[in-house]
Amino acid sequence: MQSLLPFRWLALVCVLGIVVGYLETHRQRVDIDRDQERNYPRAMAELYPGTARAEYLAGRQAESLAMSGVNAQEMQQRPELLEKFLADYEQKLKDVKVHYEKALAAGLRSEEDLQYNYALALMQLRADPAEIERAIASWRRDFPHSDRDLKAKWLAIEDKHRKQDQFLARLQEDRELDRRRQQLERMYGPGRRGGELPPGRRNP
Amino acid sequence: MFRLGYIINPRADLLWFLGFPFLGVAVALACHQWLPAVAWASIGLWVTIPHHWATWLRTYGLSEDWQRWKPQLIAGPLVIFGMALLGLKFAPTTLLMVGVLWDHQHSLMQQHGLARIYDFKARAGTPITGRLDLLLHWFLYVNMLITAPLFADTWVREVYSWGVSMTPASMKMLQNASWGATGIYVLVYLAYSASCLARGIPLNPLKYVFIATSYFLWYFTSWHTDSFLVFGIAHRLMHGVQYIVIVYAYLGRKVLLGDNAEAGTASASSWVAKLVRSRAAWAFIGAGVLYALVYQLVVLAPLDQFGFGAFNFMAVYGDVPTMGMGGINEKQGYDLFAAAMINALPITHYYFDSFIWKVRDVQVQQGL
Repeated sequence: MQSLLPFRWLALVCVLGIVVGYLETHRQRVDIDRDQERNYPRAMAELYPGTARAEYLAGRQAESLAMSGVNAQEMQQRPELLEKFLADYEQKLKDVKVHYEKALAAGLRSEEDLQYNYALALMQLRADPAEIERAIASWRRDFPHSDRDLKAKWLAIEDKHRKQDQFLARLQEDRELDRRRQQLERMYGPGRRGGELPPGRRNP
Repeated sequence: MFRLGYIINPRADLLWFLGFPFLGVAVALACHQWLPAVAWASIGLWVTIPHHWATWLRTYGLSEDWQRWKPQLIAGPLVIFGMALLGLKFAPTTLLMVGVLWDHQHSLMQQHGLARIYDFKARAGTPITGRLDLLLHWFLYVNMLITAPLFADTWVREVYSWGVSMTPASMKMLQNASWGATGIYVLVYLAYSASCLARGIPLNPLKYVFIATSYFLWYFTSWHTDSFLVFGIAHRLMHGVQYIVIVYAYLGRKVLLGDNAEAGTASASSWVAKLVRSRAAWAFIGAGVLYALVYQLVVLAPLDQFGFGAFNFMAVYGDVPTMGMGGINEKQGYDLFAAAMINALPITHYYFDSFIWKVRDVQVQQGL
């Protein structure tokens, strides 16, 4: 027993580690970014208002909430909702950008996700390419070993924007055609048989 | 009354123990201002990893230590590595928490230990001074963990992740209580020190300067905007460098004692003795850097972390949009570095051969 005495502190750490490890494997998962009661960004904002860290966390939370409003199924069934969603999303992303810019301006540079997500937000908002290039260069300078590829992301986002624009243009065309068809129906459609003529036209 | 005593000597103490925290803060602020965030990893590589090497050097290189703690030195690493592997597989957060909390306790204890050397060298204080000093460290350090944004960020996240409901208002109350308790203890400690002076018990003022400068570094940097980077660099510098210095001084003294003792009682292995003799300080540092290099290779981490982000293989070959060429990736960057090494070694060989093999050289002739 005496020979085990020198190991008492190491044994204590091991026992504590095993107990806490057991609790870890059985703990309930909490979404600390969105949970109402246990909200990590809100707590940090209240404890350290206006600090770079609080701004970063607020931006991250706003970004996560911006994406949470998407209902892909509903969007497929009613494509006309897309425009409204995109307008809302853009507004939310602008808020995200403001939070991130405040955090960056205050000098927070060691948080890779801040710089990475800021560059992504700029891409999503179709910011000036020079501004996006600066954000990418700044991220790459601070994190040269990151295995993430922002250039590839940028290409993918631009491709998505192109497809989105084409879809919206087609939607606009369909709407225009629909509007004209309705107008023509009003003018010559079945409802008009023997009825009134468009203004300025007389019955022959 | 005051009585001075030094850990090493006045000049070394001023540089490494009393003034170094200020230097650490200045370096950290400079890194934040002018270097990329990867500088944090570079400091780890240049300072933290060699400071582990200093521990191995003392524990496994000093036969006295090896004989005294053989069971712990053999079984300890086996148990710790085994537990770390289990933790990594089943409870990674717990493993991280144990590592972080033990790191905090270890940092606190190092500063406490160094402060105790000041009292030991000056033969200052009373039998309870050590305990009161330790309590002072605990109050100051735990208060920093509770109140500083750098650490609150971690514990607030963990409190919520573990499902504990605690409102921001109650967290604020906890922080205020921590400030209050720390303030009260500091007053008690000051009153005790004053009573020592009044009773004619000697105190070493350098101990208080040392404690004050250490906590200046910790408190100042953990409230910095980019506290993770600035605290990380300053703390690693102070902790690592002071540790390396004390191990070097300790081993040097042990070697000296071994030299003066009778044959067969030298406590340090011959290679450790060679390494730590006063004239071999650069060999000691070089061995630490070599250890860091081997460590970096073993864990397959990027070698350009040695360069504080100033050398970045990928930045050298950036995009050339006009030619439709992209920059190089991590793997290609490493290949480039390997190619440079493969070329540099033969070039060194060419250079040496250009002057060591002159047949007209009399000394060379003697070897032929």
